[in-house]
Amino acid sequence: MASRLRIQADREACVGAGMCVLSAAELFDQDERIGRVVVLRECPDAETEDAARQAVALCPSGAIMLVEESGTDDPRSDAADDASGNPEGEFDG
Amino acid sequence: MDETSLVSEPSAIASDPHAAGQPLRRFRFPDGDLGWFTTDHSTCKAIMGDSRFVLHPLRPIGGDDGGFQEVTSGPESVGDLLRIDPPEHTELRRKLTRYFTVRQVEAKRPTIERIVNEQLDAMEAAGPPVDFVHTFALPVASMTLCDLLGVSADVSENFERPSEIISDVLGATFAEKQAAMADFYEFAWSVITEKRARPGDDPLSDLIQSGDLTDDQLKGTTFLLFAAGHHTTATMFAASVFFLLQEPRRWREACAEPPAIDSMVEELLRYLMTTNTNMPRTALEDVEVDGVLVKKGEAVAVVPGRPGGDPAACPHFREFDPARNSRAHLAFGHGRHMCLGQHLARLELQVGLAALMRRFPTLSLAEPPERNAWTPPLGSGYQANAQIGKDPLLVTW
Repeated sequence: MASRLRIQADREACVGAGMCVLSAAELFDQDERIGRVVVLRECPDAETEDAARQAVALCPSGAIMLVEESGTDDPRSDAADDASGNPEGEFDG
Repeated sequence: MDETSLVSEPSAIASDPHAAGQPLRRFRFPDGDLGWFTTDHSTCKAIMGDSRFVLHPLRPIGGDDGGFQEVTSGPESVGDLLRIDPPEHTELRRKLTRYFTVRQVEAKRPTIERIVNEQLDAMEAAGPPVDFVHTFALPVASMTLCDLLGVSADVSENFERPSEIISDVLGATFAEKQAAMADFYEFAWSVITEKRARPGDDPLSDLIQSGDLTDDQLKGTTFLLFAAGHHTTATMFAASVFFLLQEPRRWREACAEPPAIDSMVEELLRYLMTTNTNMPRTALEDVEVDGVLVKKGEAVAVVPGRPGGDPAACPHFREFDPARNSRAHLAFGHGRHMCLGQHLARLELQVGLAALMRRFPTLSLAEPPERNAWTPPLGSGYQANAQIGKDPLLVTW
């Protein structure tokens, strides 16, 4: 079983500082209305893992987390995993 | 409690911020309250990022505050992000963040390049030698800000002058600072009135049109944006150039083999740590920090040391390394009050310093460092911010 990292972003805790974007522009963006974090890619690969860790370390509100998950490469089990509360696309309030 | 272990003179700690010992030291504030003091990077970061700590009640941490906190705290402070806590802080900041995102700031690059080139031309026309502060550092910072806030560059004097006075810790009297603040709010009100009548596409017009803010809040926000938005960046320009020219090989090496400018600017931010808000954080409840129990109501003076960063995690910590490529410092703070304008500051410094190096590879101090009229007061980290002021920084080429 391969283990991989998954980004979790707490959009309520986010203060819109953009340090995640600075650290890893391939993985993060800020929404236009209030600058809150938008996760572009949930699972950093080997190339972007360091940048993801930097984003976690530099986030001023601790809104970014990297969760280690073990799972197979089977896309069906990925879909089941998606109940992780990925906030992407939730433009609440 | 052992009174001999009590620190009352912050400079005693701040002068050697990375000495081994407890990260949190017992401290008596100038107002007599007993609290804590830390210059430890990890501890500062943890407290700044901990929502159980708030700004209220604000108090000076050093006896020579010069009345800065008092003079900048008044009815208008309800709109000053650096004077309020959640929920008001959260709500107000959210109204402003979209103007300061990485993308929004990057869109200002052509404007900043134009402003920088204009000031480089002005330097060439006026010198050598020239006063770098008033020919480059201040105008670049002020004009960039005027563009962002949608006001004419002609009004710069109306916020530069009062900012200089209130930041002049020892040189200006308290009465002079009060008068400067009155002038500042008068200027702020004139901007608000104008934008109410003729709204533009800028953060202040947006806030006014939303109808969500009281007049006091609008004045406070306008004050903060104008003050914090130029003074800090101008100071970093001057302090950076002074630092790089102090040892001529730094400038020469940077010009001969330009480092990645974003890495160099980040290292200058880390190394010089020119801005400190000097705002203690008060615990809303009992909080354990680094094995110490900070009790509810106790305040912690949080003064990140210089150079910035964590010595344990930062190799060659005391070395200025423009190729270090690390953002792990607290030059812009941390937590909910982390500098709103940090990306703008970075971009200005990156564009400005790179262009300066290209245009003036033979730049040098016009006088030896020790005889220079202006030197950044970077003595102990807790004192009022290193600042530009009346004194020129003469450079030649």
